[in-house]
Amino acid sequence: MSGSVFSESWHRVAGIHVGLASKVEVHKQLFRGRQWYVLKDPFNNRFSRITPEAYNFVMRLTPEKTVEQVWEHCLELFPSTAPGQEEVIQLLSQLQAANLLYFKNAPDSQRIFERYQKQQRRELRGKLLSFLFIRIPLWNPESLLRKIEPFIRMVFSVFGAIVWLLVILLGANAVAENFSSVAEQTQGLLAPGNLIWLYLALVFLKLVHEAGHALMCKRFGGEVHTMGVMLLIFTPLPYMDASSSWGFRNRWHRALVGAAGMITELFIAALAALVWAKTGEGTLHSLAFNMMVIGSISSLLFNGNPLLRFDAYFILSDVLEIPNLYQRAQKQWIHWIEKYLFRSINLVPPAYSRVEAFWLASYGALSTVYRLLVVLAITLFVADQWFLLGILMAIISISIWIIKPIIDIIRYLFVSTKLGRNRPWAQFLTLSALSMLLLVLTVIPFPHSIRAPGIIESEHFTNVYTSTAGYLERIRVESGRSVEKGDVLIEFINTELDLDIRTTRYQILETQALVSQARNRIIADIAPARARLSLLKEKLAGLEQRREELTVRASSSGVWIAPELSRHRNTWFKRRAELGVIVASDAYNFTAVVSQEQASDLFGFDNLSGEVRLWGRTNQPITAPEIQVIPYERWVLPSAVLGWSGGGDIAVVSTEDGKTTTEAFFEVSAKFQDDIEGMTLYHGSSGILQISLPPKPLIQKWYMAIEQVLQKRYRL
Amino acid sequence: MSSLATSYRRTKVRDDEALPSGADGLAHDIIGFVRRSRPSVRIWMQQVQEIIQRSQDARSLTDEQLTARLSAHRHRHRVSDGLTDEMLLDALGCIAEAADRTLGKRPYPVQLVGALALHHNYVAEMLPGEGKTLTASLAGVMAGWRREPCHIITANDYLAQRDAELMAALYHRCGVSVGCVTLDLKAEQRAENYSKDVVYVTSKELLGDFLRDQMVLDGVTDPDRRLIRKLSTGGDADESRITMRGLHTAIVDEADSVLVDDSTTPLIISVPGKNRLLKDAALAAKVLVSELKRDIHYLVDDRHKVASLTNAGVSQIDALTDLLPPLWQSSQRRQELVRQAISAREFYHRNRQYAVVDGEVVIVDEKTGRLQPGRSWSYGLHQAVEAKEEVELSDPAETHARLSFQRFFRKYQRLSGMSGTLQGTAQELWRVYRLPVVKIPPRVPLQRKVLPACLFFSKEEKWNQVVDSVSQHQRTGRPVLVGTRSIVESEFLAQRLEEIDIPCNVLNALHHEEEARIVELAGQRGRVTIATNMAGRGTDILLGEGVAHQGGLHVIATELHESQRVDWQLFGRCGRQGEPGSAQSMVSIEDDVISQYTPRWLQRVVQMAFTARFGRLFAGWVYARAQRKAERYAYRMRNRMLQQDFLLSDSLSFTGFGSHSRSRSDGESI
Repeated sequence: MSGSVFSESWHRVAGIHVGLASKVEVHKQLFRGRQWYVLKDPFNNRFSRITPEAYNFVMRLTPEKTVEQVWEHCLELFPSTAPGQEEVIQLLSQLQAANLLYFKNAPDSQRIFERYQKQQRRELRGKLLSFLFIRIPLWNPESLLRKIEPFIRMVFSVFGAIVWLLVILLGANAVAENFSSVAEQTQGLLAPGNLIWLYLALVFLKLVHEAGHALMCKRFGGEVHTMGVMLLIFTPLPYMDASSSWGFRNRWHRALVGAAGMITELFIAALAALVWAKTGEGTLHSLAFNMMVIGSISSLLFNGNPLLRFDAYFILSDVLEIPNLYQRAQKQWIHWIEKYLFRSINLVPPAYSRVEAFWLASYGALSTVYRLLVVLAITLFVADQWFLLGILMAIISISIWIIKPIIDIIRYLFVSTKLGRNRPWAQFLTLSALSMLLLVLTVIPFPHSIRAPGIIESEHFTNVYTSTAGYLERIRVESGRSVEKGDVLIEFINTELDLDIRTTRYQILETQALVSQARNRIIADIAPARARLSLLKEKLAGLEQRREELTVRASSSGVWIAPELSRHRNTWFKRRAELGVIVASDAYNFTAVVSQEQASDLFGFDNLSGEVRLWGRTNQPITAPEIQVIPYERWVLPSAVLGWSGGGDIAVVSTEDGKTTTEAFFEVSAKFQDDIEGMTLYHGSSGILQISLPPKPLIQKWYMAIEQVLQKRYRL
Repeated sequence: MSSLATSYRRTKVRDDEALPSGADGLAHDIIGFVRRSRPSVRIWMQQVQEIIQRSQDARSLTDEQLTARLSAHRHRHRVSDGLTDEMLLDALGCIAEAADRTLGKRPYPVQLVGALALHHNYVAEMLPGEGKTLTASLAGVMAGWRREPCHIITANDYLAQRDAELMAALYHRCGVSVGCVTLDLKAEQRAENYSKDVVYVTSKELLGDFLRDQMVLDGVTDPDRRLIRKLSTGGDADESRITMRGLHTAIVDEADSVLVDDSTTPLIISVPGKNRLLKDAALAAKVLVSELKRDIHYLVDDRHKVASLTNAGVSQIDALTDLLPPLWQSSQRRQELVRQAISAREFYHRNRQYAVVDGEVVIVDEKTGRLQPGRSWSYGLHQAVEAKEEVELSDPAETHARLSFQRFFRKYQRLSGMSGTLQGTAQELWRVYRLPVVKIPPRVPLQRKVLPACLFFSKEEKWNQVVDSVSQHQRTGRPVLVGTRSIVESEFLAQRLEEIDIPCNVLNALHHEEEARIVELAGQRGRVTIATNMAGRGTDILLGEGVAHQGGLHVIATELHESQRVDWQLFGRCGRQGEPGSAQSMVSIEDDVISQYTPRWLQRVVQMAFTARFGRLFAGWVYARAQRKAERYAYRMRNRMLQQDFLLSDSLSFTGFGSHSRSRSDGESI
């Protein structure tokens, strides 16, 4: 109850003869334990709710009496709760705006017409602003629904629910059994060839979904008058208007109508799952698969999410018994700001209880953040496909989500009548909050660092390769032992080589025989035979050298590291295959990989420093006092561990070694501090190098990040 | 045929659309700025040379020839298409000649420039005493020629009657009928006068008649709709009760007062209604509030005139709820009632905001200092004040129709105005009425000397100095006019002067019967007059014999007002029409303007710094700042009222004009 008992505008309404229009249907509803009267206009399915005190007045309105007479009568009947004149005026204009009043004398029809036009313009503008969700009404399905009403009652019954549950369970079972192929086929869901099927499946399912709402609405006695096409992100999809269910007294009925879309969609999805599981490759199979995915996942993702204003939102609002959840959630926040920060007086709280305020506030916060994220994601998605459209969407989103609120705030602070004498205080508070934020963003430097994945490399190390191909026969020194130069590390055997040596030896004998023959008989043959002999001897020497090399010796002193080798006994090693390393000293470097964008940040700094955190030991950072960027582009990683195929974060071309990257990168080499207490470093262990840069204000960091995203994604 | 046309036009009223806002508003402001800065005056000055030339040429015409030319112009204006500058200048030349022949006054160039400004729908800033009456009638003749209703709005009934009579000869010579509407006229006489081409009338009468017509018409002003309704219902009875014939041209004298200062006070047509409930409540609330103490049970904000209850106050009221009638027992309502009673106690003071005359609470207009019998504050407040004064509670007025002057004047198709004090109103006049302001250079250089303001620490010091200054000037034989803000202060000063045997006349709302005599004497040698704002607009103080030699009238303002313009009006009483005169303000940093519009810490700084070297300079700045704040605050309030007015009428559009089948008794009072 608010507003004065007497109003100076009373004369505007006092003498009119007015009553509730006969079309108006009144329902009593409980919202959070509080009584309300819901007035319904059956012609357009609009609802207005009023308090019992207001209803006591409204129900007594009759064209036979003037408003003043009715009001005075109410005063006599309910002296302490009857609405004041100002409330009566508000109430009447609210009801008039909802077109629920009947006037004995024609009111100012010109004004009403102007007002209607204004409302139309506002609605059109609203539609244009929410251009991602445009609705075009086409057809009235009510008469059809009436004809099939008995059928509806049959289907939407307890029996129907049992069938539904059974089918869902069977479908889920089918999916679970074929889970691996589900994952496989999902990959191809967005393939260009599948898009048309995907869309057809989507249209069919949405039709079923909307029909679900409409049928359920009919099931509980509602009416459905509009059906049409909705352009959801420019994709035409069917929709139906089942809002007459809002008049249902039972909130669970209302919630069921809201959920009916998902219920039917899930049912179809389950049927599709069964079809999919029973068919082989083919059109039917892939269509069924599409239906299954859309009917379940997309349905639950969008319609099952109360943060978006789809079905679940209305279900939640019904279950919580808070109508207009979203709008009132925003009002709740504004109310709190006005009350506690701006200290406005004479406020009317939007919530009727603390619990409701809690629901409103949490919903407001969550949905706003979520919506922002969704808008961002959609914009990025569209921009990836059609760049210009993406830009357009970004501009529109920015104006709706950033510029408009700013204008609203400015208007609120400087012009609106909502602020009274606390205007300077509110302005001061907002401005100081804003300048604080600006200060934090633009002036106060925040620690700034670059994280780069990399591996530890010993400063002096020798890679040990096979010089000659062969089967690994024996590992003489286990990995991790120290070796002296010349120690035998590994022995390979190569029977082919042995065979070659033997063959060559025999050839030498043969040639020697030829030489001695020639000396006796054909002196002229001596020279070529000798030449051949010496060639064969050379070959032998070479072969023996290679056999010698089958025994791999340490080329330097140090620690022999070849952890993988023992798994490869008796396998064939090609020539120049990597076997392991001999790490000669205790001095280690960390070699890290930075992207080109990161490198551009690093260039120009002379003495960079940072920290290394090794995987598995991230709580023990190692200081790296000296960091150097090696100023040339590379395409091959120092270790496959850093690439995708090795479990790292860097995109690599899918080749054998997994070291060639898709994008050029720069190498950064970090020296560790001299004494690292209690840490043994191993050559080859990977980790993250955090390079500290001079602190920067946040806005600069964000700007650079956005710039880089744009550059990378759109080559701007 | 012509009767249908007349009848059609009779209720023609422009729809006043809402103020442009947002980007539109900005564009609107820019257009206004451009319109104001256009060199219109320079062009008009050149044109005036041409007009004078033509009026000189017209001297040789015989009376018949002049009449023929005037009547030719009248017909051209009647059609009003293709009216060229050339014709306009010739027409004005002829009117000037006619003025010379009928009134014996040949318009000065300034007046002709003024007339051009009015004709082009500007607000002309003209110094007082430049002859605005003649200026208005020059433009009035041209407007009257169109046969569309032209209303010339004057400050009061007396001026309306005087001007209409004074200028009648000129109008008749030019073939224009003229009338005037004053308070004492009956409905038929009003209709008769409104049927004239040019009508002199006060804004109050005008709006009152407009509203009464609206009630008859039930708010249907659109001629098409009205005629359709008339045809469909067949009845014509109501039409005969319409007094006016539409809103077309208005020339507003004292435009700043009518269009700015008083524009938000709505005019209300009401009858006293029996409202036992409200009276009981007001009495009960008074008893209840007597139990409450300031700063304990409630807090008071002087600037915004808002009282708010503390928790202690709320619980105190809860405890005393049983005193109230049942309608007020819900917590919201009883708090509202109590707040109103507190307001009556804290913000409404006897002999400032109201006076008690013959056991009745009569409102005093703060800007003009005049009593406003018959006016009352909004529902309940008036009764609360009456309860406080323990006089008999009047029946609360029951509103039948109301409209603010702001919205009313926006309904005119052509609006123009004149005033001597338009400082700082240009923007508002443009925003609200699309009226550009032009400054018209004075005919004779101003001889008024405005002495630097005297600043004092306390009111005590100020009054001492005022008394000294008065006696000083009085000794030299100059007449002195002292302006005070309230009745209380005027009486207080009179008493102080009596004590030192300086005879003085007091002009305030309580002595308003003697106004004419006091004003007449105020310019005489050695005369001291103390006046509230009553000695403002329209008060012409004629200097006595030989006074001009001594330096003319000296004006002292004892406190600055919330608007600079009101101060200038007081100063404008001296140095009229090139006569000598001087003015000075004597103010203290304890004045209301400072205490209400300066943050408390700044007040303290001023107090501490007052004796320092630049203390007075600083205090002067703070004073000016407070006045600026006050003006801005007032502007904001007016703006807000207008917006709310629009919102309200928008949401109530369904009710029509809202006087359906209510008693249309003849006992309506304003």
